[in-house]
Amino acid sequence: MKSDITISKDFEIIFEKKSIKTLFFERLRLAWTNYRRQCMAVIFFLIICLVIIIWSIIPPFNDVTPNHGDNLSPSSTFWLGTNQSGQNVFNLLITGTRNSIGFGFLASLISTGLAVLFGVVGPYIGGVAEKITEFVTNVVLIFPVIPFILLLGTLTQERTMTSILWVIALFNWPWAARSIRAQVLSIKERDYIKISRMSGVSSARIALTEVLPNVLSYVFLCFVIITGIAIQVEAGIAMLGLGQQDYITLGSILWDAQHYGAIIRGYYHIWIPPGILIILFLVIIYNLHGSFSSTFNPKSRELL
Amino acid sequence: MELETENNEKLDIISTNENNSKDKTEISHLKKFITNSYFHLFLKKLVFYFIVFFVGISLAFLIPRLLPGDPLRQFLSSPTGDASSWQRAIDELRAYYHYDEPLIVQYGYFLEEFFVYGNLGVSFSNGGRPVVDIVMPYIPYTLLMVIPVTVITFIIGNWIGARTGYSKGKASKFGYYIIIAMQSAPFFWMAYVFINFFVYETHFLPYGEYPPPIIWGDINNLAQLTEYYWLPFLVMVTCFSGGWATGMRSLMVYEKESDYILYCRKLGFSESKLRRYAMRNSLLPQLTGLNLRFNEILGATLIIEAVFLWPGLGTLIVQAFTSGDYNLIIGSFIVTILIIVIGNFFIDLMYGFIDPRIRVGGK
Repeated sequence: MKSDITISKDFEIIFEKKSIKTLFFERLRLAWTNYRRQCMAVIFFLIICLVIIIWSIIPPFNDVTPNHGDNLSPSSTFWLGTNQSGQNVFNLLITGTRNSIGFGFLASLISTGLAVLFGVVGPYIGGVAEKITEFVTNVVLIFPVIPFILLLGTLTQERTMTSILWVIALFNWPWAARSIRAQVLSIKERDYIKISRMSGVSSARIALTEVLPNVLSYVFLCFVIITGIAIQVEAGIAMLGLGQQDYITLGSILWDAQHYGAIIRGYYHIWIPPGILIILFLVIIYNLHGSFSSTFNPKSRELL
Repeated sequence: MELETENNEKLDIISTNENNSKDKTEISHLKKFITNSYFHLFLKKLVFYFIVFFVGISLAFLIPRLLPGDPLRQFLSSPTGDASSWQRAIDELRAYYHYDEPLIVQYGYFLEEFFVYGNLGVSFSNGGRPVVDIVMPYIPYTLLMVIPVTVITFIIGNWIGARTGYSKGKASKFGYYIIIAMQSAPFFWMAYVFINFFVYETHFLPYGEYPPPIIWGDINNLAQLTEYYWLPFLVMVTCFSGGWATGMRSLMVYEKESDYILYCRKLGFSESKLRRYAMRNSLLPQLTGLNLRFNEILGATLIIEAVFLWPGLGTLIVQAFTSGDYNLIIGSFIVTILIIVIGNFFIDLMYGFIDPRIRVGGK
């Protein structure tokens, strides 16, 4: 066994077949020790999302039934007043934030999956597959999201959460795929990848265990950014009137405010808070993104 | 002159030089034109954008055909007169629009109509006027909104980003947070904030009515148009400068540490001059993002036009949306894609002109 073949200690690491699970936890532990600030930022973000989800389920705050009295100003019983059909605006906001964030996460999951597929698999295989993925990425990149959603909204007349989810997810992945592709191409030229290839490790295993973990942190960054974009686009479409009516999202609150005249009549408590919440959420996402990018570019120490 | 190499081989240098110079003067202008790298870029981008446009048109063609629902449903909803003649009329319409034939045949007719005759169909909700005639007057308004917004947000955003990125201290931090808030603000919501402030509270600017049609020679007309133009323009510029500013700021922070800046500072250059140099170098990566930004700004312009009743493609699309007019929405979608493709094409050409590296493949 080992005594028969004289290999140096360095090469034993490649030959020793660790399972993907142990590699994953090793990387996690390394990330926690080296990039503690970023891990804290991510955990903070996840805690906020969890708080919002739980808050919207607790009894006093999950009551969005109408007919409590129309368009009341903020008072002690109704913290932000009521809207035109008598729903409590504060509860609407919390439920809406939860739905918006959930929508953003789902859309981002699909988008990031597509981006990883087109960004890692294509360039790694090389040759014709790389050219095809590059071409498809460039074509979908140029396609405008909003006119296409307007087109679909006119033609289908049925607007559900799933259709909007799929349209937003299918058009937001190209720029992430491009950046991931740039990273993968630069990783491909590194020495340890070449050594792994020469030593006969299978191509899929290299892609999973060597290339992907280096790109994974960037993929997470793209996930976070696309969440922000999805939330903003969905709110914009809902405010126009092309959104779905099944769930309450921040955009649908804004549409109610516009459609039933709350903006014209000056009921600030209805239409200003959702916008401020969107801004706050996107600022949090941007800070997350900033703290990540400062670790990827070691030369730029201070970006914040 | 003859050289002696190490192996004592004699190289005939003068004769080879003469041959080369003779060949150079004989290369025709046509050959120079064809082998020019800029021409290669032009052709490559032309083919690519034509393919993108083709894909867009095909998508616009396919989607209403593939969705459940009849394109003639506006007519199908209310039968007039007696049933058999109504049915005959519907059948005649169907035959005229080739709705019963296989998809490929319909596609062939569609392409032929579009590329050969420039005909995009007839708008049913506007009394049968051809779609091209309806869409044409709306295009200048949209272009008038999109192009200045793109240019001015680029200039202002990068300038703000350069200033905040370069200087240190409290003003820079404060500017950073303002930029982030500007970037994250949803533009449709911000539009209502602006409307509230400028129109409802102070009654400063007009809102809620269409601006007059453009007459290019008339100064009074243009001045009146500016009153209507001012508010949507302000909203767009505020909401879209933030993106440039944040990118520029991070690039400037990175550029600030580079060698030539440190060296020139030691030499005694003034800070504003150094900032200008750093900004010039950071401007190039920003140009690559101009393509995406143009598409984003066009999409946002469509929505802003619908909010402010500025008669561009946005109001047309909303009108088509409310009346359920198939041909009109497809026609305006195709025109939008055409604008995007042409705009991106010109931006790529301009970028190829400015940065020669992408012409030769970036080696």
